[in-house]
Amino acid sequence: MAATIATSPTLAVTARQTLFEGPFTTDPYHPNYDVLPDGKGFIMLRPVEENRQLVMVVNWIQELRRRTGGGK
Amino acid sequence: MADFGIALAASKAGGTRMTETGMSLGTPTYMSPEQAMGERTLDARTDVYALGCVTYEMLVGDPPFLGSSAQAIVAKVLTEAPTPPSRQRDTIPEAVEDAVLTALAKLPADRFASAAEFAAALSGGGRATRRLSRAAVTARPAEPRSRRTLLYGALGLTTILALTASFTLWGRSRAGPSEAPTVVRFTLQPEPGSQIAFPVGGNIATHLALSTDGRQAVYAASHGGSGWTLDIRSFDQLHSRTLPGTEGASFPEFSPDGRWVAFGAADGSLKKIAVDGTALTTLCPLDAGGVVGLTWISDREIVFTRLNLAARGLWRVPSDGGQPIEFSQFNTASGERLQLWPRSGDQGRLVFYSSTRASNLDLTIGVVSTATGKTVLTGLRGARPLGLADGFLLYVRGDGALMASPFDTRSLRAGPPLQILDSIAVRAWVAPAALSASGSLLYQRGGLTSQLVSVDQRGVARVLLDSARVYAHPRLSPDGRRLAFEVQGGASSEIWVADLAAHTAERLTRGGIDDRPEGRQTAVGSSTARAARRRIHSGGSRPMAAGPPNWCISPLTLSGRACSLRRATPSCIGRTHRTATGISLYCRSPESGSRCRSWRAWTTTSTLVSHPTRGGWRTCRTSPAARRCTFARSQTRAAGSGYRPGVARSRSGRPTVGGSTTDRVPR
Repeated sequence: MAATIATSPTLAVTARQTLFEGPFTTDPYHPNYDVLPDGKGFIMLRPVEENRQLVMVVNWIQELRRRTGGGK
Repeated sequence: MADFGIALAASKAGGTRMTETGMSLGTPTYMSPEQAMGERTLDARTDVYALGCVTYEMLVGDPPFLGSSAQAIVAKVLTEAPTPPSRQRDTIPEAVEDAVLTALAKLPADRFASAAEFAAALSGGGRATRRLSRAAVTARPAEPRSRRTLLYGALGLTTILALTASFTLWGRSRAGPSEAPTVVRFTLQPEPGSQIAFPVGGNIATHLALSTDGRQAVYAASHGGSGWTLDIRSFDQLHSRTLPGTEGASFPEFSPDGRWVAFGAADGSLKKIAVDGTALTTLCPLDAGGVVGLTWISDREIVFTRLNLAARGLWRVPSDGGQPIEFSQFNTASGERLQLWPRSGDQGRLVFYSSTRASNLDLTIGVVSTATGKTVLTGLRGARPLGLADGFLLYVRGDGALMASPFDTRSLRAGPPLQILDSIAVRAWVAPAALSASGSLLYQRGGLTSQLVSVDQRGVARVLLDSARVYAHPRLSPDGRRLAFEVQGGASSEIWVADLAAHTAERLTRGGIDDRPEGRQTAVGSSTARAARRRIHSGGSRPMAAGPPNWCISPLTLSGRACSLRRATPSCIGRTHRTATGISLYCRSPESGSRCRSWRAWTTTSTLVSHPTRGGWRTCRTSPAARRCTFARSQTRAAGSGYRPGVARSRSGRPTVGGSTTDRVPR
C-alpha cells in the first residue's frame, strides 16, 4: 500500500493506493521489506512454499516414543 | 458421512511426507478404488466404501485388503475382490455379508448411495442388496492376521452411530497390550466456502488448539472476508462450526473437560464460550495489549499472560471470571523480562512459558510452580512450549523444529533436547502447534524459506539471490548496491550482506537485527553480549553501548545516528536510545504497575521525566540514582503526542533532540 499524505495544517493521510499484491512474508513488528533508493521498487520476501495446511497426527506420542527410544 | 479431508490425506500416503517424519498411515486400508486412482470428485459412495471396510474388519478382525506397504494395499484395492467374510467366520448372516460386499464394490455406482441405505441393508430391512457376494467374488486364501490398523481418523462418521461412537477408544482398544496404536496423519480440510486462516499480521498469537482427548480442534477460519473466526471441529462430525462472538479471537484453548474454549478476544478481554457455541462469557476485561497466551490449569482456573510491560508475569483467574492475580516470580538473576505463552503441565501443577530476557529474540523455556510461583529457567531455547508428553517437554523452536527434552517434574530440570519434527510454520514468534493430553498433535505445516526479490510498482518480481533461506528484515544500503538481511535458523540468526550486482552474499556476523545508520555500518544485537556495530566492508566491529551483557537492540528501530535498545534490570524496564553523544533510557519501574505514568529518560548526566501532573517532558540534571530531580526546562516534547525524535543530549544542560526513531514517546 502507498499513502498520500498532507503535512499541513496537520499530518494526515489523504489517499491510499494498492501498489501490488502477492504472497509476501510479513512481520507483525518490523518491516520485512525495504524501498529502493529511487522509490520505484521494493525489496520483498517471497515464500517458497505457499500451501500451508493444518496437519493432524493422531497418536503422535507413538512417534515420539519411537524417536526417543521408547520414552521414559 | 466421512471426512474427505482424512480420505484425501490418506491418498497421499505414498508421498514424501511419510519419509519426512517416519510416520505410518493406516488409511490406505480404507481407501476406495476411486480415491486410490486419484479421483478428485468424491461423494458419499466413497465413504460407504470406507464404512464397508470398517464393517468388514469388525466382522472378521482384518480389513478387506492387507499388504506390506501402502502401495501393495492400494494395488489390491484396485484389482482384487474382497474375500467374503463368511469364509473366515461362518456365523455371519448372509444379509450382512451381502451388504458389506455391496459397500465394497469397485464401482461407486454399484454401492449403496448413502450410509443410511447401507445401515438398512445391514439390519436386513433395506432394499435388496446387489448380489456381488459369495458366488461373485474371487476366492483367495485369507491373509494372515497382521498388525491391526487403527481406524481413528479414517472415519469421521456420524450417521451410523453404532459403528462410530467412541471410535477413538475402539481403535485403541483393538491394540493388544504389546501393540502400540498406529500413528495416523491427515490434513484438516476447511468447510466449503471457507478456508483455514493463518493470521500473522499485527499479532503474535496462535489460532489453533486441541482438546484434551484430541477429539476436537479449534482453529481460525475465514469465511470470505479479511477477518477470521474460531471454528470448532469434532473429528467424529462431518462439519465444523463457527463459534459466535469469536471474530478476530486468538489463543483458543480447551478446558480440560472439553466443554469450554477460552480465548483472547479482539477487544483485549479474556473470554470463554461453550463448545456448542453458547454461553459466551467475559472472564475479565484487560487493558491495552490483551492476552498473550493462556492455558487452563484446571477446569476452574486459567493462567494467562498480558501484552503489558507493567503486567508482564503470569496471571491466574477463575474460569467463571473474576479478578486476575499475578502469581509468578521473575527470575531477575537471569534478566528475565517477560513471561509469555503459558502451557499447563503435570496436571496443572506446573506452567511452562516462554521467557524473554534482554532481547525478544532470546527466548528460553521457563517453568513455574502454580503452588508457589517459583520459576525456573530450563535453559532450553525455543519459541513456545507445547506441554509434557511421556516424560518429555515438547517445545517449538524459532526455526520450526519441534523439540523434545526429557523433563523431571520434581527437580524441574530438562535434559538434552532432541529434534522430532522440522516443518512447523513458525513465524515471528508464532508457533502454530498444539499437543493434546492424549498424545495427538495438530500443527500448521509449511516451510519458512523465502526468496529475496525486487518488486517493481507493477508487482513484477525479480529474484535477487538464488538460494532460498529463512530470510527476514532486508535493508538496503543508501546507494542501493548492497543489501543487509537476516538469516534465521535454529535458536539464533545471522546478518548477511549481499552485493546485488554480483549476486553474492557473505555472512557479516551472528545474531540480531540490522539497519543502516550512516550507510557504512550496520548494527546488530547479540543475545549474549552487547550491541555492536560492524563495518560492512571490513567486517570489524566495536561495541556500541557500554552496557552490561543484557543490553540489546530493539529490532529495527535504528535510524540515522540513533538506535533503540532495550534493557532489563531488576528495577527497570524500558527502552534505551544510544547516540554518538550519549545514552538515554526510557524507563519505568515495573513495581509501580500499570498505574505508573512516570516514564523517565536518562542520559549519562541528566534525566528526562514526564511531569506527573502537568504532562509533557521535562529535564533535570540529576543522575538517575537521585530520587529527586529539579525541573530545569519545561516541555521538551509532548507525552503521547505522536512519533517524536527519541534522543536527548544534555551536556549543555538543555535537551537536544536528535536522530529519529519510531518509538512513540510514552505516556
